[in-house]
Amino acid sequence: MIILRIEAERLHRYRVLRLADLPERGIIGLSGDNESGKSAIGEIICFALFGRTFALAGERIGKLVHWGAGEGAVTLRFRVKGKGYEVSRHLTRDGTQSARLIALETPNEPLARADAVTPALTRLVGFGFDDYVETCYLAQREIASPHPHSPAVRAMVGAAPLQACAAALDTELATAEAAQAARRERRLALTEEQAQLAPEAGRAQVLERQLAEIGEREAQRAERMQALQGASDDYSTAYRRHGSHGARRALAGLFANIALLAVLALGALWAMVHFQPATWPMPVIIAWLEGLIAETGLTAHAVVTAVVVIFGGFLLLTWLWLAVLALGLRRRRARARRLARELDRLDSLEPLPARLRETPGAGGLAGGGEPGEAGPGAGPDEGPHLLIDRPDVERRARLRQRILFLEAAVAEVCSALEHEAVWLKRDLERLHAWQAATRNGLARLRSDGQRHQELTQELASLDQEIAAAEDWMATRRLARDLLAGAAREMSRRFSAGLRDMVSRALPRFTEGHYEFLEVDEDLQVRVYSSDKRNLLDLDEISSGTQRQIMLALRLGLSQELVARRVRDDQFVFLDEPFAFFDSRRLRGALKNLSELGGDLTQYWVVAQRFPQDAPIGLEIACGQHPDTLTLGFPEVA
Amino acid sequence: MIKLPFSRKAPEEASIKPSVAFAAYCEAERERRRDTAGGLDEQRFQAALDLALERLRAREAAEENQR
Repeated sequence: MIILRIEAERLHRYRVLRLADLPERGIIGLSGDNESGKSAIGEIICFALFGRTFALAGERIGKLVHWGAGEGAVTLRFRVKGKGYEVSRHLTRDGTQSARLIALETPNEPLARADAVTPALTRLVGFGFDDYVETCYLAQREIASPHPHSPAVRAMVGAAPLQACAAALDTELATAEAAQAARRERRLALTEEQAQLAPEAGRAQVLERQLAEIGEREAQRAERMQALQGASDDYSTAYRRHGSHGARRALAGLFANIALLAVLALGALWAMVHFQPATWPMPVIIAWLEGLIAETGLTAHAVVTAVVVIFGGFLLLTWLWLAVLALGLRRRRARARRLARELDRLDSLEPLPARLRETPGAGGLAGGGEPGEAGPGAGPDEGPHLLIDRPDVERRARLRQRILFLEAAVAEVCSALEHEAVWLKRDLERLHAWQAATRNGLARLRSDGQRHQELTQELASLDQEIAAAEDWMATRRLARDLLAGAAREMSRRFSAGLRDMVSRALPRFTEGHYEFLEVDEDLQVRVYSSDKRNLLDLDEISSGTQRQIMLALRLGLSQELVARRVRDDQFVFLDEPFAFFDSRRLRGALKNLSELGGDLTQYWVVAQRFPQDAPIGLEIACGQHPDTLTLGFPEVA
Repeated sequence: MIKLPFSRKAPEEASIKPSVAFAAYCEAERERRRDTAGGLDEQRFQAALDLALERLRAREAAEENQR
């Protein structure tokens, strides 16, 4: 891009600025005293190109309008790759802008208008504002080392897309690593949970067997208890009935004996009356009987026969009574034997093993506790309680004997059986507790087993996810590292190229005091001093030389930008780059500028004054008229 | 003939696409890694290279479209 013509009105310090017929190659010198409007030309060019200046942007750009005026305008004509273009901007004091970009070939068909002008111009000339101020435009400020991470430099290096892709991968990796950390945390939690749930092999079968055993023992005891209760009730009934058995047996025996004697006596009387009525004392007895029954009309034989029959019947009844009493006794003894048998069965009942005599632990059996592993409340005190509960063996034997003989009173039996019942009930309670605990343990074991299985599946799935994510991240990490490595390599090459180029220019700017320099990947500069025969950091050399070196570096960067992005002749605007140069060094620097070669062909250089014999193509003296500067145009009246 | 400090670059030299430069770097890097003690996971390297190239080319295409 080469500037051909500038035409501005009411901008900055200029009411009128008109520069035409500008040389396309060589140095255009802008000279003049302080506040003469030299830098204003650079700012007006910058505004024409990008709608802003180095210092003024946004609404503040309105300050660029000439003092006392409400609006200003600029038209910049330039050449890019052999074609002429013109950009025009109009600016009001409140910062409102209008703009237009045209090709000189087709002036009536604007290439862009308004806000679209800057992007269109950026595409056309190959660089934007940031690139421009980093390279081709040196504002009146300290020349600093270019920042290696500035967009312009990164774009020049060519590493910007790589670094952007690497940054995008970094963002993806950060998200993925956070997700992976969450997965690993989850896996740890699941593993810990699974370790706590780790099922003991065969534990369920053990608990099932134990549950069956407990059920069997419980059924035995419940059956014994019910049978004992029934036998006890029967015994009580039998005992109560047996209470008057002796008297009844004695009475029945007495009646039977009396009846038997009476029947025998009356039978003898009947035989005598029937067979020996004449034998003494039968006649007397018969006469006495006939006297007694004279009025009835019955015979003595008939009466004796009837009495014999009656007593015979009575005798049979007493015998029947005795038989009934004997049967009752037999039945009661059978009940007593049943009770005794039930007591024997109790004796033969296998006592609870020690492990079941203890109270189940508070945690039940879920935690793998076995019956026999003492839980809270279980202890050595339990044994003595069992002995107290049950009557001792000798006492039980005596009672059994007394029961067999129906001699044990109901109260005595009930008291003894109460002890047995307490013992049985306690056993049953323990069995119930163990049964409940075992069931709970079994249920929990099954639930834990189910959970363990679920955890195993989830862990397997999680492991797959972790492995897949790890693989995914490893690929992206490698891609990021390759991108970063390639970017570094490009930076290194760029630095090397820049170094070579600037090193060639450096002796010219430093009058041979410094021959070459080192530029690292971060664009940090060290120079080799021919005098000191050593590499020096910039802060080890004078500020004037620093500025020379940085100017050389700046021009090198400009050349790189143009070579990579513009690929055409390019202007450079240098605002007082030689402010501290003496006239000899200034002359030499200007000569070197014009002999740099490459794509930089049009140099705008600002200085207070130039030496007489400086190699300047055109010198524009500023400040001769307060607010007007015209060159190549007819003078404004 | 006097050699000037700055010189114009050939068009092909000035316009190497980042993806092309990256691919060249990766080929050199691949060879270098093959010679390292740990060896090279060819599959992963290729996957990473393809991924990065795909991103770079997409970016370049987007930039081309913008122009």
